[in-house]
This record gives sequence, structure tokens and C-alpha cells, in this order.
Amino acid sequence: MKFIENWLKEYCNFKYNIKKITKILNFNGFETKFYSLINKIKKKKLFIYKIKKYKILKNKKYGFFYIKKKKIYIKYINNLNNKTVFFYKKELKNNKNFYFLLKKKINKKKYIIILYNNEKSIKKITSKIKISNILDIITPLNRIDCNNILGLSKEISIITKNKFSYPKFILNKKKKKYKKDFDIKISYNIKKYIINYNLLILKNVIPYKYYYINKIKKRLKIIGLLNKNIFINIMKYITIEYGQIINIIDADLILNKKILIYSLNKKISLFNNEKYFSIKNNNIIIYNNYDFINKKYLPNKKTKNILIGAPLLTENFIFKINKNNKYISNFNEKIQIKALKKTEELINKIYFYKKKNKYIYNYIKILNKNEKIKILYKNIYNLLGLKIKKNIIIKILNILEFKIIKKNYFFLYIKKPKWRQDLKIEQDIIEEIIKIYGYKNILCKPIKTKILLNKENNKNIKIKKIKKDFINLGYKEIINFSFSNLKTEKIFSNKKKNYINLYNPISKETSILRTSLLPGLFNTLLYNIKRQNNSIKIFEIGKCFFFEKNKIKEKNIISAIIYGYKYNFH
Amino acid sequence: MKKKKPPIKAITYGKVFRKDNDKTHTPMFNQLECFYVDKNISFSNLKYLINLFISFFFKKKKKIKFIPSYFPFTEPSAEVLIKYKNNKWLEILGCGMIHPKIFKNVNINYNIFSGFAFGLGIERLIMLKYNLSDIKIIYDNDIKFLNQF
Repeated sequence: MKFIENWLKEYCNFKYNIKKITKILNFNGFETKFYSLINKIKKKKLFIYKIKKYKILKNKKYGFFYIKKKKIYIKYINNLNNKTVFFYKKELKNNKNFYFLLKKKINKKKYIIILYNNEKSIKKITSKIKISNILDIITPLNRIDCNNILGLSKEISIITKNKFSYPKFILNKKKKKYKKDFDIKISYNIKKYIINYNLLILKNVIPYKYYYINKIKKRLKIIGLLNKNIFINIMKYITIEYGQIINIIDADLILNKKILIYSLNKKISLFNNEKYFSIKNNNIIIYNNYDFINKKYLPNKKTKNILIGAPLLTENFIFKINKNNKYISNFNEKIQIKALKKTEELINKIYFYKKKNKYIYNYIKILNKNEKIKILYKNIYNLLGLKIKKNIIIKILNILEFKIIKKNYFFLYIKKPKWRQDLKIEQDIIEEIIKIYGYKNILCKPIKTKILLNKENNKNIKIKKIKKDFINLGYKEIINFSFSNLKTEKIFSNKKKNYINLYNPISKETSILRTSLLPGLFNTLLYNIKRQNNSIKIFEIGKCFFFEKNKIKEKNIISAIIYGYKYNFH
Repeated sequence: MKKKKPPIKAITYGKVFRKDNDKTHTPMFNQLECFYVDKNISFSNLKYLINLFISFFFKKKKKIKFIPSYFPFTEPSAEVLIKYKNNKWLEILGCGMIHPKIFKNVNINYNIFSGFAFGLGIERLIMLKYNLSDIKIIYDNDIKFLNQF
């Protein structure tokens, strides 16, 4: 999963650079890589001018530059990280012919430029301008909540002890009664999949700015998820940022139609209490395995009423659909509403509507059961072998946003935050505590009890003896991969089609489990002959795999090869 | 764990397979797994054993680091990293305290007994011990390479 650094910084303004953040995440169970995307500027867009005169202002941050008789007010910077450095002043004095690259136009007068003293260096630099740092992250399987910008920046802020702030939106808590034309009943059959469904209907909208929102376009392009349709892009953008599925629908098109939630092989009706419907009946798909919404129902220039929907999905359902779209990861009702509001904010940039014509509905409200978890101080010591002070434990729990309901000398009763659905038992909480406290603080303690290991398996002893005998005879033990391919299996296999195919092989050459050790031995032989080894004695002991009588069987097999001139062997 | 009552100490090894192929990963490798179940077993005991094993295997003190991780069978879980070339850290093993659910499934009272488990790739350790830059050299079976051992 890809995240842009600057996007993460919108919520948690950590001061570390991308390298440090990668390191921090790697040391906290996230498999993280980073890379910087290089801006490919077309040569036509470059403006390289000679400076005729210049004057630097007293504050040393800006200067006047005379180019082609024009006076331009310029902020000058000399490196790629947008830091202002002033050592170019001397160079400006020494070099009369000074070149610069016009990088960004702020307004009619202001420019951000990169100064260089010759044309060649400009050409070199233009090919290396970094525009954004991207984190490529594989989150641990239990931390789906970190699969979106909000969740991940929150986790980074907890680890780095930085301040985290939620996006601010004014929430309209007043529920308005919905009118007859949007009267929708929702089936309770979908409790397994949905906790609630919030709708926002914008009536009598007028398109006044039908253009791409640049920020969204840029960011999705960098991640590689840009779509031609602006509404699909908005839905994707919100899902990446909040982990929340969003539906943007032309409300007029769904009147008198049934809306489905489609997941894996099951279809569930959302807005009707009837039986399950098939897709052929012209129903709308809120979510399917590959796309967010059926394109037929997306708004367009003629749209008059827009429906924005945000379903809060159950934990199990999120785990199921997360395989197809990893960004879907929201467990929190507040975030659901915030995502809805943010979508409205973005829609507002495309359509104009009066505030009177905004209707908010809430369907199926089943509150998440947030059970108490009891933690005994004694158990923390027993599990970790480390005494952590009680006040430190409480401090850590506060950082992690746990609610402490009850506490005494022996135990704590806590409630977990809603987005941490992975925490279920006491041991989970202890793990979170030690993550923050640091594994390095656990001292090493020798094990007091003494028990002996059981005797080694007879089979293993026999194999070891055989290996020793071979080695004493001057053979070298080799190990080959247990994979083979169809061609070699056909040559070496005794029976027809008793080999086992792999479901997801790395390549065609390794698509079958071996039924003989000989192909591996021959390959090794050829490999060594090519490297001018004239006398070779090798053996291999390993498992071969067969498919016999509808069962998979493993057999230990020994094979050996001798190669070379007679006088080389004794 | 199903057959015997604690205390139990076990170690086993075998070939394992996965879809991974680069300088530090092979699609097939040998894995060593170990667990220990007894009264009063804690993470500090696990840390002691791993430190002991690494200093014994490399025959010198190595810088290691425990970092948080996730494995479904252990809670808390950790990964052990070792410092190698160019001051980089490389993961060598995964470990943790055995999950209470496992004890439940084999009818061991987890309020009385606790245990730890760890698993490591043998090839990765060999790679570090003999300063091999590519793990695949082990499976090339070059006689000149094998003669060194």
C-alpha cells in the first residue's frame, strides 16, 4: 500500500524525514520501503533565462532580478528541499551570466526559482527534481486500522509521541425528516455486514465548476489509482484518507430501485426488506469486489439531486473485503461522519446548492459492543518478567487512548478505542504496553526449571548415520529445491501423472513438487563440470512428493552421483 | 502439547516453502522451531535463551534487537534483528509468548502455565555467520564452495 508523505503530515506534523519514518515503522512491525518520485518536466515547460541585473533585499529572502528588461520579484532557493540558503550571494557577484530555472509561479510577481551558475548543472538537476516521497507499507495482519492515512498518521504520532489532530468539520447533529420521494426502508438482514448507513442528500444542485480537483488528481496519480471519472476519484480519495467506503450517486436514478451490497458470492439487499436480488434486475451495487460503484449511477452535468452514502461495516466484513481493497479499514463512527462531510466538501467544489437543501439521514444504528477488558498488574509481570510502575502503565494506556473505567491496587478495567478491533484479550493489551515501553527494557532471566529433552527420533538417527557414511566415503552433501518442472518430471517420473502441481508457483520452472532427486543431482553435476571440476562425488537425502490413490505422500529418498576419471577415486 | 503435560520442551526442524525469492529469501528453506511450556515462564526467559543461542552460534557477541511484530500463535510477539554489513539490521527470527488460545485448544490451564516459542531460518543464520552476500549460493551446490565446510 502506498502513502504520500505530505498527505500523512496533514494530520501529524512529525519532524522526521522519510528515512527516519521508514526506520521507525520497520522497528514497529510495519514492513516499509520508501522511494521518491521524480518529476518529469518536459523541456518545453522550462524557462531558462540570463539574469542581467539583480538586487537582493535586506531580509535576504527575496530579490529583484532583471530579465529581458522585466523586473521580477523572486524568492530564491538553491536546493531541492525548499530550504532557503544564501551562499549564492557571493557567486552572484562573481558570475555576471547567471542562469536560473523557473520552478513555480506563485502569482504574477512572485516566483520560486532554483539558481545555478551554468546551464549544464541546470540540465542535470532538472532530471532529478524530487516532488514527493512515497511510503510503500505492508501493515501487520492485525492492524487493518492503519491501512488509511488517518490511521497510519495516528499510529506514527503514538510511536513518535507527536500531537495528532483529527480533521475539523462542523457536524450538523440535527436529524431532518426525510421526504416521501426519498423514503427508503432498510432491511435488518444486513446486520452481519453493516452497523449503520449514513446518507446525505443534496437537492437542486447546479454544476458550476466542473473540473478536476488538482490535489486529488495529483495524489491519486502518484499512487497509481487515478480514474477518468472525478466522482470515482473522490470516492477513492476518501477511502484512502479515512478508510471509509463512500457512495456518490445520482439520487434521481435510484428512486424506486433497490440498492445492493455485494460482497464475495453473496448479495444482500440494503434498502428493501425483500429477498435477495440479482444484479440483472437493474439494481445498484454499492460495493463489488473490484469497483466502488456501478458507473451507471454516478452523477453528471445534468444531475439535480445527489446522494452521498457512507456505510459503517462490521469487523468481519471489513476483514473479508480488505483482501480486494486494502484501504477499506474504518471501524469508527466519528470517522464515518467526518468522511461523509469531507466528501460533501469536495462535491461542493463541483456543484452549488443551498444549505436548506441538505438532508442527513441515519439508518440502522446498532452500537458497537465495546466490552471491558480486565488487566491484572500481576499478569503483566508474569508475562513479561518485568515490573512496570503502575503510573507508567496508566500513562501508556492514555497515550493509546484507552478509557480507564475502574482501577485499584491489583487491577484495571479499561475500554479500548473503537478503531482497535484487534484487541480482545488481556495479553493483547500487555503487548501494546510493552510496544510503547520498549522490548529493550526487558531484562534477560535464566530459566530456573530443568527438564531434559526426549531422545531423538530413531528415523533421524538412521539418516544421520547414512549421511556420515557417505561423507566418510568422500561424498559432499548437497541440498536442492524441492521444485521441479513438467519437462523433467516426464523424463524422471516412473509413473504417469503422479506429481503434484503447485497452486501459486514462482515460475513455470518450479511449478511441480519433485518425485525424484536425480534431476537436482544432474543439474548440480552439470553446474560443477562447467566450473572445471573433473571428479565429483555428491549425494542428497531429501523428501520427494507423490500423488497416489488420491492422497499426497512424502518419501525420504537417497540418491548419489559419482563422476570423473577412474584414478581420481580410491 | 496434546500428548504430554507441562513442563514441555521441544525443538524441531524441517523444510518450509513460501513465495519469496531475492537476495535474502529463498522459496524453500530449512526452519528450526522451538517451544517451552512451564510455570513462571516469561518474555525475559525467552530473551535470555535467544541471547544465549546467538552468542553460542556466532561464537562472539552480536548486537541484536527485539522489535514488535505480529504472529497469530504468539502474544506478545517480536522479531529479532541482527546487525550485519553496513550497520544494517536483518531479521533472523520470530518469537513470542504462546497465545492463550493454543493452551485452551490443548487443555492446558494458561493461568498456571505459560510458554514461549520461536522459529528461525537456518540459511539466514549461515548467511550471516559466513558473510554471504546472496543466500542462493547455498543452493548452487558448487563443490568449491561446499569444500570450505
